[in-house]
Amino acid sequence: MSKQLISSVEKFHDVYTELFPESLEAMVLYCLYQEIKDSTSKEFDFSVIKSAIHEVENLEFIKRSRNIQNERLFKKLLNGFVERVTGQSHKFYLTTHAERVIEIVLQRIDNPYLKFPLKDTFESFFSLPENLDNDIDKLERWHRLNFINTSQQVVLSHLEALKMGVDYAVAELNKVLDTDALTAMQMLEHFSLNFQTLGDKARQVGEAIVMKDRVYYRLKSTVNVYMERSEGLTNESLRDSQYNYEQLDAEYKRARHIREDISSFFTRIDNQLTIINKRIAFASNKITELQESLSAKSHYKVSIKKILIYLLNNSNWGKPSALLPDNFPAKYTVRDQFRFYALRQWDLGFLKKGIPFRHTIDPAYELEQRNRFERELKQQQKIRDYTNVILEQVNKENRVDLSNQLMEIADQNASAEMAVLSGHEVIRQINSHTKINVERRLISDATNTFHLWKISLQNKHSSNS
Amino acid sequence: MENLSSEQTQFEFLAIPQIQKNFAELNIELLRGKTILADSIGLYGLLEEYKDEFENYYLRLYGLELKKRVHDSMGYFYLDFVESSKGRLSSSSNLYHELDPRHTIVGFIIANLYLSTYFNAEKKFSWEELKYEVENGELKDAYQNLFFKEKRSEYSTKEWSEVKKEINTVLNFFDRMRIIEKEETEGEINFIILPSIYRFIELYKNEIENAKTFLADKSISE
Repeated sequence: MSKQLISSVEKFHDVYTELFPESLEAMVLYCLYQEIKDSTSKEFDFSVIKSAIHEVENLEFIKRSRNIQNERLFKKLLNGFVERVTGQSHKFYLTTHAERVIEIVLQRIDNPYLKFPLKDTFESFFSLPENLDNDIDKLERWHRLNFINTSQQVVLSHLEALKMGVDYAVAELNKVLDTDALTAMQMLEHFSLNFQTLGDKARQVGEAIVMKDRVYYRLKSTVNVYMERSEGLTNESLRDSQYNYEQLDAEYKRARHIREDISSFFTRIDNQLTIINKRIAFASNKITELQESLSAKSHYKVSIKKILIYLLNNSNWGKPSALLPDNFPAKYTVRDQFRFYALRQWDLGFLKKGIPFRHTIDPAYELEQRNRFERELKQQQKIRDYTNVILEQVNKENRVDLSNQLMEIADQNASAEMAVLSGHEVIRQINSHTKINVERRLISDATNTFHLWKISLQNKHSSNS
Repeated sequence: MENLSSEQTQFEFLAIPQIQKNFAELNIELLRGKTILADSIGLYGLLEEYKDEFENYYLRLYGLELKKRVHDSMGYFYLDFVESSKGRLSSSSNLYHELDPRHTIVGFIIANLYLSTYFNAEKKFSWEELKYEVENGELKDAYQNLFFKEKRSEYSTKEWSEVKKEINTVLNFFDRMRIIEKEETEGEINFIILPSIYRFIELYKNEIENAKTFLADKSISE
């Protein structure tokens, strides 16, 4: 808070505490107020004050809280709320200020506006005086004194009282569900009537507001007169040389301002009434509904509250997640989480489209390769055949001279390669029962280019024959 | 095959242009668990007009029940499981969503708030009001025990903002289900509880109707 604000708040506080009595003093003042209310003389003596203080002291809810010192209280009262009658030091009276303060409170308790018929008030306050067309000052005076100060206040007070009445009734109604069925039924009866009254009141306000149209249109035409005059459209202005454009325009603007002010006021009222009516309608409907199913609804509410209390006292709110008490059932809802996936299209730029092109076929090469494969296949076939023959021989005769066989193969095929490959194959395929004997004796082929040690294969379990 | 013609006609409503226009949205909303209230005029109107067809559709193809309820003069539709089944997609337990414990707790808080303001035309609340309830309301001891684990006269701003954030997350969940209508501006949270809160209340119908026995089992002190 700025320094300025702080000091003005302090000042405000000082004045405030002087202006408004504390609750104890207020209660005493109220008692005094009641005392003099019906009597002709507004004066009372000290004994009356004393007994008022005494009465307040003895109220149940006061007794317990504090010690009351009569002298101090009396002094406080003298400070602006109670005054001595001039010349008679034993007589006192309530100040106007004290009366006003008390009446503010009393109006809250028992709002007089709710009793007065609104329509009549309206009629008297909202009627426009004659001859406003020519006298802008008169119009303004009416606007300020009659409209703003009086009629507006009255209507707003009515509405305020009505709104508070409705809100209060609704708050009280909400307690209905907490009471037992019998009391509740009675309450509902009472409230049903209550809301009917409130509904009537709302309707009255609405009806009175209808009158506004008359006022509004009269005003509108008045303002139009001013406008036309300022635009030189009427004979008056031409006739009367006193008027010049600026003045006329200014008058028109003032008139228009008044009209707009009133118009916005009525719109405000309309809106407020709509809200109030809506609340009344809803509450009234609920009352009817409830009267039909009271015990069920009340039981529901009470049960839910009980379960809530149980949950609050026995659950663990926990982080990151809560825990329900043991055996408290969890329930399920339908809840699918739709996820639509879309793959992004990445345009990497450098991916080129493959253009297929045809190979040219080289027939000679193809033929050569084919022939080669055939030769190799044939060769392998031969090797397999040789191997099988030799192995069979080993099994049958129990003894084979491998090197001789290989030489024969070499001779037959004119190729050492065949012999070697066959030999490898044979050795690879013989089983563990066959023994391989190698002698350091060279065996050669026909061309004397291929030499081998003498190798013989012998079946182990046979005796040497 | 018997009833071939009725089998054919029961899905014919899907050919109606108006249905076709709105079906995708309606279907996804319902399967997401949202409540379609009477104030969603278009979708609600469709469900009303073709109620039987839609009911059949969801029952046959999803094993789900399309429920309609009216509370406080506001009607609403939503999908629920048929008594004890999990619907047809039980293996993809996507659809079968267990309520988070926090959702359950806040659900009861909201239900209680709703019924406490039975006669109010609008069940409107703000975070500030909730905070007030926790600090000063009738159930303040229980609330403080739950959120803060201990009773103190004051709690730090940090503690409050954590609780606020946690509750806000749950409120978002209920907002998505259209059980409340929430609005949040500049950290101010306001929400209106809709009549569809009875969806939650119905979930716990048995427990509520038999509260006495339910709570007695748990030997609680009140």
